[in-house]
Amino acid sequence: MIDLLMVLGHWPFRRIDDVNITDFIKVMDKNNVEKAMVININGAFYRDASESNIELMENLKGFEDRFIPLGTVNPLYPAWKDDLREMVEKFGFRGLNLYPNYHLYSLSGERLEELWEEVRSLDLCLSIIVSFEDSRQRHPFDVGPVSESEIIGFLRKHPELKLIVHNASYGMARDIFLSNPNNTNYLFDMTFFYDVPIGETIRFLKMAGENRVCFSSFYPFRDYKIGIMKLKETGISNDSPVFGDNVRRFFQ
Amino acid sequence: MKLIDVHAHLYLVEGRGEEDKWRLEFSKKYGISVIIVSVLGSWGKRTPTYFPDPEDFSSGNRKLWKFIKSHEASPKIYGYAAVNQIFTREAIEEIKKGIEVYGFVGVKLVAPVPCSDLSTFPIVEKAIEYNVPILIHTFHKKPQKLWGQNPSDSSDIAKLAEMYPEAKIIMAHIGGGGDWEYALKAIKDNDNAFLDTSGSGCDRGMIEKAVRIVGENRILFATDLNITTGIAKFSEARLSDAQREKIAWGNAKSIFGGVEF
Repeated sequence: MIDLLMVLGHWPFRRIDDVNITDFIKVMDKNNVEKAMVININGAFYRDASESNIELMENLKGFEDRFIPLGTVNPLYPAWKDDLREMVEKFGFRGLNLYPNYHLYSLSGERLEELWEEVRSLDLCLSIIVSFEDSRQRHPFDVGPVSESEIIGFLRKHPELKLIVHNASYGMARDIFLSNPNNTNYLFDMTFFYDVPIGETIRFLKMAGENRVCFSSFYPFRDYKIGIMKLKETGISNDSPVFGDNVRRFFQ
Repeated sequence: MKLIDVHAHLYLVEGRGEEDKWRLEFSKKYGISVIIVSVLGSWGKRTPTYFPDPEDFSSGNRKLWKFIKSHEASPKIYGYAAVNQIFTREAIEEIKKGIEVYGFVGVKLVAPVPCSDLSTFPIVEKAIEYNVPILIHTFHKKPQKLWGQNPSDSSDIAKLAEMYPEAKIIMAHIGGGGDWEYALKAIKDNDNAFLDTSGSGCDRGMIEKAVRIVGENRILFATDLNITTGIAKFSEARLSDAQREKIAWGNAKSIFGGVEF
C-alpha cells in the first residue's frame, strides 16, 4: 500500500504529536504501508521555502526507500530556479508541492509560466494541498483554501502537467472532475472525504473511477486508520489501484 | 468490549434507505451493540432540518418508534425525542409522549436557537423530571453565520449546565466543526456537561485531549452521521483500558437509566 500524503514539520495552530520520521515508519509498518509521499509543511511558512527541502532531505536520511519526498519552491522568491534544480538534481526529489495560498500567488499568473516550463523540462509531478484543516476551525492567522476555480483553470490550461490535488472536499473534487473529466493527468486523495457520510465517497468513486483517487492518511494531522477504513467500507477490493498502483503509474 | 453509540441517526425517509441500511450493518460489524437514535423530522423535506415544525418533529419521532418496534436484530435501538424548543408547548407534549408512550430514553434538541435561549428552559426542566439526558446539537465556537441553523456553542452549553446542575447535558459531536479545543475548555468545570466523540472532524489527538481537559468520566462514544470515522477515531485514540471502557459504554450506562446494556 502507498500513502499519498504524510506531513513533516511544525503546524503552528495546534499541537500535533509524533512528528518525527521514525514515528512515521512505525505507523506505516503497523498498517502495512510500504511507501508514503511526504512533504515538509515548514515550506509554507519559512520566508525562504527552499530551506524546507534541505530539512526534508536531512530527515529522510536512512529511510529514503520508504518515502516519495515532494519539495517546494516559492516562485516569487529570488533564485527559485536554482532551488528547484537543487531539489531535483542534488536531492533527487521528483515532485513539487506548491503553496499558492501561503505564498500569495495565483496558479494562473503570468509569472508562473516560467515555473511550468521548468516543471515540464524536469518532468516533475505537481501537488497542491487545498487546505490543512477543516475550514470551520481555521485560525484567524491561517489562510483560506486554494479555490477550485484556481485548480480547474490550471488543469484546463496545462492538461499535460501531472497534478495531485490533496484534501479537496467532496464538492470541490466533484466540480474539478466534472470540469476536466477526460484529463488523466491528475489524481485526488480522499482525506477530506472522510468528513461526509460514506455515500458520497461511494458516489465519487463511481463517478470518477478508481484510477483517479488514492488513499492518503494525512498523518499526523489525522488518525491513520480513518482513511483506510472509509475506503475499504466503500466495497473496493484490497488490490484496487486506489491503494498504490495509481501513485506508481503517476511516477513512472 | 461493549460499544454504545449515544448519538446516531436514522433517516427513515424515502431515498435514504441505503444509508439507514449502512448504519445498521456497520454498527453490527464493528461491535456496536446499542445505538441511541434520533430522527430529525423529515430531514428538511417538509420543514427545515434544524427548524422543524411540531407536525414534522412529531412525525419523525413516531416513525422512529414504529421502526424500533419492528426491529429485532442487532444492534439494539433506543430513541431520543427530537424537538424544536421554539414550539415549547408542543415540544413538552412530544417529550411526554416520547418517554411515556414510545419508551424513548432522552431528548434531542436541534438548532433553531442556541440552548441558552429561554425557550430551552422548560425542556430542560422536563428532562430533569424524567431523569433523561438532553443531547444538544452544538457547533464549537461558531462563526458569525451558519447556513440553515442557529446552533449552540460550548459557552451556551456551559451556561445551561450551570443553570441546571441536576440536568444531564450532552454537548453533541466534539468533532462537529469549529474550535473543539475551545469547547473542551469552555465546559471543563461543568460536571453535568458530557460530550460525545462524534463528528466529521477527526483531528488526531482530539479524544486524548478531551480526556486530559474534561476527564474520561464525561466522554461518550458516538458516531453521528460518520460511522467509520467515528469508529476509527475511537479505536486509534491512545487511551488506557479503563478510559476506553468508560468512554465506550461505562459513562453511557451511568446516565441512560432506561437503557439495557
